[in-house]
Amino acid sequence: MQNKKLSAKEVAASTGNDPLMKVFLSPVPKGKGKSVAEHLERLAPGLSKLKLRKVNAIQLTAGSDDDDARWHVVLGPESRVVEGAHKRPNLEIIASEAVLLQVLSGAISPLEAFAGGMLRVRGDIRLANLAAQALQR
Amino acid sequence: MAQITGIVNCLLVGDDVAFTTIDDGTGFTETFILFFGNNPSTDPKARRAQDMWVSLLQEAKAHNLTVIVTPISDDSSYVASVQLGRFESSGSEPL
Repeated sequence: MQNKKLSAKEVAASTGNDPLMKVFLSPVPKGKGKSVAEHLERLAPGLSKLKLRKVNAIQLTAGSDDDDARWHVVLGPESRVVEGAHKRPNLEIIASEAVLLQVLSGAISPLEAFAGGMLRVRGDIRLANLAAQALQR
Repeated sequence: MAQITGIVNCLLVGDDVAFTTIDDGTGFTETFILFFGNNPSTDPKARRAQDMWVSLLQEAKAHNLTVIVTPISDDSSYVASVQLGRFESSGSEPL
């Protein structure tokens, strides 16, 4: 069974007005950056708006092998970007580096990447929802 | 393959989409797509399998049973198979 790349229109048509998914339909704010780390540095201040009870971390993993590149954002009043894996991230986004760059640059929405079979999500989906909302404010 | 074994945390079925979230028991959950619009296929055989996955997951959720979910690739959240129970011998091994 093969999955295909879906257009933003197809993704929107399938999700309808589902409140949980609606927020993932919008791409993150567009911006310049050459690497995943540069985009994360650009977006991290937006994540500082999140009011969370516990310290949380979102990890991005390029690929699924142990030696693949990883970055994480420690969320807090001053969210910071760290290269490397987090011990126990609350949320992990797994995709190829090319797809991560497309999502982080705002070229495609997170839901387009997910529904296109290009991205996996492990962990707290509510945190993903809150993070997406914070980035769109 | 990034297979996950665990219990069904959530099963969301809409008009044209179905997702499930599996909890592996260590606090990790992963969200999978059973189908999404015409993805991966509207082929009747594929649709039948997708309907059966929903039934298996519903059963597993109702009775807190362990399932094994296998995605189609390491980078994708699309489900290739859903297994309820394990292929294990139960006392029939030779002494």
